[in-house]
Amino acid sequence: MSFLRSRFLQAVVVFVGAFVVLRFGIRPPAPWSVITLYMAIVAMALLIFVSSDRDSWASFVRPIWATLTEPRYRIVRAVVVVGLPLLLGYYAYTQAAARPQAPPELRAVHPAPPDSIQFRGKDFNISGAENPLRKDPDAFARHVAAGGAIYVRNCMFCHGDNLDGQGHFAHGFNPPPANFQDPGTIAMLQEAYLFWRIAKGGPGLPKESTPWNSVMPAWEDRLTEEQIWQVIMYLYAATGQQPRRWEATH
Amino acid sequence: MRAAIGVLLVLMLVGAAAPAGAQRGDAAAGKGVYDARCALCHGETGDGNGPGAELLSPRPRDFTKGLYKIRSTANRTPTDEDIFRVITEGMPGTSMPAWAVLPEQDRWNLVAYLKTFAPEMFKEAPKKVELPPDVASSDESLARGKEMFEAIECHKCHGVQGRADGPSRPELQDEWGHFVPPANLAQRWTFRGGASRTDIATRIAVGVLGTPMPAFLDAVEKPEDVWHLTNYILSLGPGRPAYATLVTVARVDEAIPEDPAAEFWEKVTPSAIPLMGQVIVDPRNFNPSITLVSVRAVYDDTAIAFHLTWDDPTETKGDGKQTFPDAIALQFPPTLTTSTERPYFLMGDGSEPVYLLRWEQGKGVMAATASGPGKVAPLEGAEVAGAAVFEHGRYRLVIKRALAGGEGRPTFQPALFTPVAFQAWDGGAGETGTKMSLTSWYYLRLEEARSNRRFVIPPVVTLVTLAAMVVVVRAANRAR
Amino acid sequence: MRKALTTITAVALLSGAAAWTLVARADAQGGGTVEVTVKYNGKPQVDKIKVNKDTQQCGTEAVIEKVAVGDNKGLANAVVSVPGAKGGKLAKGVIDQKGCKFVPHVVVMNPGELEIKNSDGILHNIHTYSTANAPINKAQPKFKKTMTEKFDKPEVIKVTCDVHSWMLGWVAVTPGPAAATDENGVAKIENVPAGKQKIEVWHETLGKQTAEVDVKPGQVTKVAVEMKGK
Repeated sequence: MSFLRSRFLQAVVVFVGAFVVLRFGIRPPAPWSVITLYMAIVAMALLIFVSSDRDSWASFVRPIWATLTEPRYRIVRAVVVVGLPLLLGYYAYTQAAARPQAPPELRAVHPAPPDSIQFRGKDFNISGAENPLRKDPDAFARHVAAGGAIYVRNCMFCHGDNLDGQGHFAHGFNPPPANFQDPGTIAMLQEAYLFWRIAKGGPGLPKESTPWNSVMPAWEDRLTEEQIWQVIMYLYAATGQQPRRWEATH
Repeated sequence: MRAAIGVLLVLMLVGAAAPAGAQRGDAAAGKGVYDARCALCHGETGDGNGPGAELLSPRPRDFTKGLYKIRSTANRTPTDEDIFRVITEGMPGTSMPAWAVLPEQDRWNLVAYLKTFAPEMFKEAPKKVELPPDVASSDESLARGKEMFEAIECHKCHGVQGRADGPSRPELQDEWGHFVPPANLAQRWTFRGGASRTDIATRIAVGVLGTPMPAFLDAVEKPEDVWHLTNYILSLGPGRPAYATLVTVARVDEAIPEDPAAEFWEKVTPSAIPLMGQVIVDPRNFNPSITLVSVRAVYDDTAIAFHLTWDDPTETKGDGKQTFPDAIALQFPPTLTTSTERPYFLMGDGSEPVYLLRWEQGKGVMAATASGPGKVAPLEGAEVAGAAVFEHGRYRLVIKRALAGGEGRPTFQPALFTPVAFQAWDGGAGETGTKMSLTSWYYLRLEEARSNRRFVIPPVVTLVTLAAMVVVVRAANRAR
Repeated sequence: MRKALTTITAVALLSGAAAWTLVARADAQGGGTVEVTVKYNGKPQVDKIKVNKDTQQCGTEAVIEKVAVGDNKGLANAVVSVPGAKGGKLAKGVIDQKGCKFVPHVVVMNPGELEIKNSDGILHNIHTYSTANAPINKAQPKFKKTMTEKFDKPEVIKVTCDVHSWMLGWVAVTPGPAAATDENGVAKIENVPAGKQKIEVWHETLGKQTAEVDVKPGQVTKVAVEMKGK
């Protein structure tokens, strides 16, 4: 097992291992730009590691040097000298021949909410607002059930039966419908934020959130204030998430 | 010794098989899952009348009748595995999602609970259907399949080319008296019970319970005809459309024909665009009829042309009461810029209108502008040419226009990412106005002449690297 | 040993046959025939729809007779049965699909097999709506001239064809003697046990009604029933 002690091999194993973890171990897959960045960091760390002392560096360089010079590695040398340029040439071809892709839709996912909105003609404070239906714990089950009925008649088509953003219209729209099961959505937001998003929908988004392409309707046209609060309660109850609290400054 | 291993193996097999005979789920535990996950559509009592039911088509299953569409049995009783599979994989083309996200035991518990809604229907043990041995596809098999397709008159409901446009279509009803459309055999990704060879052959053999689809196993000339039919059905359309994110407009030198059936269009690569129901503005459309448009687009020095293909079971001019003219539209911003800002995807609004290239049955092609959902006004001037043909449940349409636009009309330029959206109406299904299927904004791009960069750069890179490698090897050897 | 067995079997068979003839004769002697005339005072209900396919076989117009009234207000296609009597000896049930209609419109049979014919030479599908018997939905393409299905449980079964949605037929499976009325509203039920019997009349649109009749052995007893509108 002496080759396992070879610094060169250790470095290769760590490098390949890191790549495999980054490329296949992360769900959903990380974008290539991120993987490239992390791999560069891994490569630098490895260089520092193998060059930490003279012996280590010698052990790292030895196989490379041997491949380049020793007569018994002539075939390996030839393969590397011819293969590496061909590989790079192929890579250059894939880059040069790539067809243009649709430009990415860059958008702010959770834009800052306004302090207040007009809801059906009356002023409605977003900042610091709490869900009034939660005041009466006895009515909780009733509100959640009512919210479920509203959800299934309005929201399910895009956001899905499982509230995971996989409704049967979901695959046709970009940006995709929000996944409420994801801890990065409603669990990070106050209920009042959801109220704003539901009431004002896509058309109520600020410009950095590309309001012209969001298919989220402005539900104030269709749902009452109480119904919106009810459906919000259903979202949290059905996913087991907790709404974010307002910070103490409010 | 070998005998001992054999005995051991047999024992293991028996051991593994034993639980299959027993009920794998617990109905009482299943009730909890059902009430949380299923009741909103299927109803707390299992009668298919949950709060969401009336908006869905096909409607959620009424479990109290104990009729299961998808089964692998020759009698009416499905196996537990049949029900488990529908829960796990959902029913494509319907509102029933795949519940693979639930733990497996929960799904088995659901199976047990569903059966309690109609216990008398499960008294008879399921009888697995015995399909004849599979017959691989071949030219002969396809020919025999087509022959059988015609002999047993599949086209009565499914249409000559399988696009659900047969003459019996309007009469079809399910056990509950609701309209149930025949399957579109050219879109097998919407097959309720899956689109594998065995799935299709099984549906043909035992039918789809509670619907007009009858069992054909005893009604084909020879049992293996089931497989010839399967092979033929598989040849009618793609397995799953590869949905596009970008529509590429190809540059052509030949004349662009206005005939949608011209062979010219066969050579242009299509982009498949999925369409969804419009559920923002009343009246909403929860069950859109047209869910896919294939777009081919080309341009030359002066003109741009779009070739659209979509399935519609009926060619309809409309009576204005229940049916309306079939229609389709491409939507663009009225002026094209490099900015990512666009008008509202749903036909714009008062401040930012959209430009439409529109075709309507009976009226033909036209240019129009819209300043909000349903607020469409035709544009003056005959700037658009084109025609549509309808054949066997499918429309093909060409819309052609000059590249250069004008006031309120976009000018198409090569290499510019041009926002585009699509809207479609199946008037025969009562779609008109905001009752339509649509997309949000996509991009299309007029392909510029391709540079030969891709043939120059790679050899240069290869040669430079090779030279560098040789230098390094030489230097290393000299140093030694 | 083998001989003994054969003898026993032969004796058993013979005595069985003897018993059977005895019973049958007793029935014939003890039973009578009931001629029921079913009348309906209301108007016939007939729907007509345009046919746009298979016009060679189906014609251009389909006539759906929800209530068919003949001469002297006789109600056709009603099923008359004797629920109290057991052991029917009706002929085997046969239904044909001819001219895109079920012929006869109502089949009356005892539990057992039904022969289903397709004289049209186009695709039909036999789609039954039943609860006691297993519902079937089987295709019967042009080359399948006959098929046989079993209906073991007494029940009135609706039969449709989804390819031609106007096609409607009924299969009345009764355990005892029964018959369907002809176009003049007359049904002859044979082999009805003597004595006071309850007669049941069923019609697809007008529902059920009952009457009493005193059956005399070996004679034809006439009875008239008037169906009330629904």
